[in-house]
Amino acid sequence: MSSVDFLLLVEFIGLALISLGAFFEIVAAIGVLRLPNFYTRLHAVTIGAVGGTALPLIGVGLLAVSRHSVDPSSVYLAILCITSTLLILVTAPTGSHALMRAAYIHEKRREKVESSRGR
Amino acid sequence: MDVTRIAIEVVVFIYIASFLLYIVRLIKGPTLFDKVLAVDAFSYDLMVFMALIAIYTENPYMASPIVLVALWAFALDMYISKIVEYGDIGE
Repeated sequence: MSSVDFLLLVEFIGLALISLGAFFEIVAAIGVLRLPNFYTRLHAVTIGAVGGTALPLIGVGLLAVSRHSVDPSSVYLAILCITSTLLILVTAPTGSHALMRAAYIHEKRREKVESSRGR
Repeated sequence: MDVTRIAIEVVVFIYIASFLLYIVRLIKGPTLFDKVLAVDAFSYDLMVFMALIAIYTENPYMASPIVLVALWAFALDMYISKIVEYGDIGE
């Protein structure tokens, strides 16, 4: 396999990842708009975080290094994309879990206050 | 090369459409947590949007703030959940 074929393969994989991420993103946006409940909306946002952000960022990183003349600025873009993908994969589940716990505790507290007021 | 630019244009328009849907949820959102969730999804969307604009205009320094946007969304999550669970800072 020559190097030109290899670069074309890398570019094709990057484009496929970006298109898959666009599909996940529009599904997540429709889900955030249409789903009835906070917890189900959280599920849709997590689809958007992992499928709609981590995948296209890896794709952009592959697309940046698939040029025939690699200069430092495209390597900079690729490293930036991989770094922010790792950050997203660490912080998005943690943040959504903390937010879900806070919403659950808030709901339970409000139910307790309303039931004690009703007595 | 031409196929790449056309595909990136189509994907950018899909991301703009999901921006609009997230803004609708941000305005409608019944509780505080829905609004925070919409801002989170908006910032994840904004990261990919900036990376796509950087690869489209071939100016990689345009994508520098995406790490900051990711950390900002995480800080917003943690701050709101901490305030709701334990009260304000310093009490």
